[in-house]
Amino acid sequence: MQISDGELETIYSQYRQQLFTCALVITGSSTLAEDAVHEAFCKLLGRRPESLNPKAYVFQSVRNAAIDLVRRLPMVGLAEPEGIFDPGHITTLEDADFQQAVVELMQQLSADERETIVQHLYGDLTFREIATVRELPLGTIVSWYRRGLEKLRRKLEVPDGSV
Amino acid sequence: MDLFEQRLKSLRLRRPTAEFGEPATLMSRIKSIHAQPGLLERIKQMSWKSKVAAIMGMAASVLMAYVVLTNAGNSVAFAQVVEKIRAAHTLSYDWISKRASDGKIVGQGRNLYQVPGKVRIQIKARNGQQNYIVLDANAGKVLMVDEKNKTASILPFKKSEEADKAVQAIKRVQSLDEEQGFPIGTKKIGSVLADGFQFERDDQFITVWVNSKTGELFQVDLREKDPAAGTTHTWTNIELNPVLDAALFSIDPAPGFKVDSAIPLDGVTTPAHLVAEFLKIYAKHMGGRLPEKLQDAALTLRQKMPKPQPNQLPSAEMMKLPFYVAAVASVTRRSQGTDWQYFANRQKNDGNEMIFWFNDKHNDVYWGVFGDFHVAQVAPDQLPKE
Repeated sequence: MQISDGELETIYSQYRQQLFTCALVITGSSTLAEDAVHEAFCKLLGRRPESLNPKAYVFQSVRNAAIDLVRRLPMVGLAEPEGIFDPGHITTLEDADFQQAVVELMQQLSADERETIVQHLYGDLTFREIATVRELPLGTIVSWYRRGLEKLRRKLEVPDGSV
Repeated sequence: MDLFEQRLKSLRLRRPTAEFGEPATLMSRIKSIHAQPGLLERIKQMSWKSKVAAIMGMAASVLMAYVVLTNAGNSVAFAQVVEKIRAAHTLSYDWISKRASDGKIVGQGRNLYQVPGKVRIQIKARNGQQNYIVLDANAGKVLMVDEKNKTASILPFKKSEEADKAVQAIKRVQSLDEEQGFPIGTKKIGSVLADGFQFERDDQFITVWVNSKTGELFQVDLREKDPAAGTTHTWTNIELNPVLDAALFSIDPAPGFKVDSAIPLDGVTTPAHLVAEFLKIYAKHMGGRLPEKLQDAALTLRQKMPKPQPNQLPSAEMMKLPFYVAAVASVTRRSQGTDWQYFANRQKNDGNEMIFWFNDKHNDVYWGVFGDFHVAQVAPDQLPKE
């Protein structure tokens, strides 16, 4: 099935936050994350690529563009990599502690576990879509997600199940 | 999705720019990508080239100064650094340095330059206190002021004729040109849209951010290639050729400040005097021991010295140490046995035991440092036998 330019534009608008976040977890830079998305769309528009899942196809293109950008610019001169969470939007002390703990623990996960969690929870991609994006077996993706999540859960969740 | 996943999902995400996601933005971006000139062409269009060269030369010198202040193992001849600042008549900027390993702030302040040869490095603490260092290459003096304790130290220094790593580094940076710059895109820094250009040195990435609207230098970031290697530095509020009060560069301490005169300013000062001061500090921090090898002493001491803490101002000793380290480095680059000698096995706290000597070839005299760290001119036949 060919993906029309109209469909691509819809995906761009509809998944702006998700595309940005999934690119940001790879680039560590907001600017580069936006660049990656735009570079991917620049390649896709007008080409009418074929795919059964346009959304997964676009996320895959953006992921490839982000990886390519990081390879081309291994260091972009930013003092610290930018995380995916908004550091300026904390309402309570408890939220601040929780977010900080998540940020730190996410850094302790493997890159695959971290990216899979971000793709699923914040990219709104199903495991099957992630498997398509990453060109990997579904079982591998599910395993990375579960393993990464368990690591977070062990550190963040208290025995009664609350966080 | 269980409760834990929901809690994770509820965290607010960093947002892209407001325009991102708008079809018009996509179209405009695609047009600009297609119409984007080549790298060389893009950089050639920038009018700030010469300014970059100017500031980078100066920035490198400040980097050297700060690195030396916080890492006593570096060997930087400050006189040579200052001597090489030629690109602009005056310059000032704010700086903030962070530990690369955990991002914690290790220092911040403002630096001011006045060519020829005057540098003022202000180191600020969060509570508003500040210490500062003034280097005057023409006067051959360095003033270090601890405002909290109202103490000041003045050290003499001489211009070295030898090229050293600091000078080479500055020359490398000053030679940055359009062929070496690499555009890394545009980003918003605060409310300013800035174009970033990355330069690569042997051990560092330097990113110059230029105000997209005005073409003025906006920010400079320096990061070591090995993130665990040291500190990152950011310069902001950069002013080229600002009007600077001459009093800022005065090497006379303010009235009421107690002046530490460990080294005679008006008498003869040789590298031996500075080596003696270095050995004194070394012994103080190493339980009275002296180094096995003079060449490795700065590194050994660096590992033993307390790490700089966030918002902690450097002590007077810390401010002086880089100058002593530079002197040791300058000495040990020369021929051991002919120009200098150090006796690791003569480490007795004895005023009669010579632990180091230095041949001042220019004046054809020898200077000895003794076990009690006093320095005296000695005759060639007084030098200990190997």
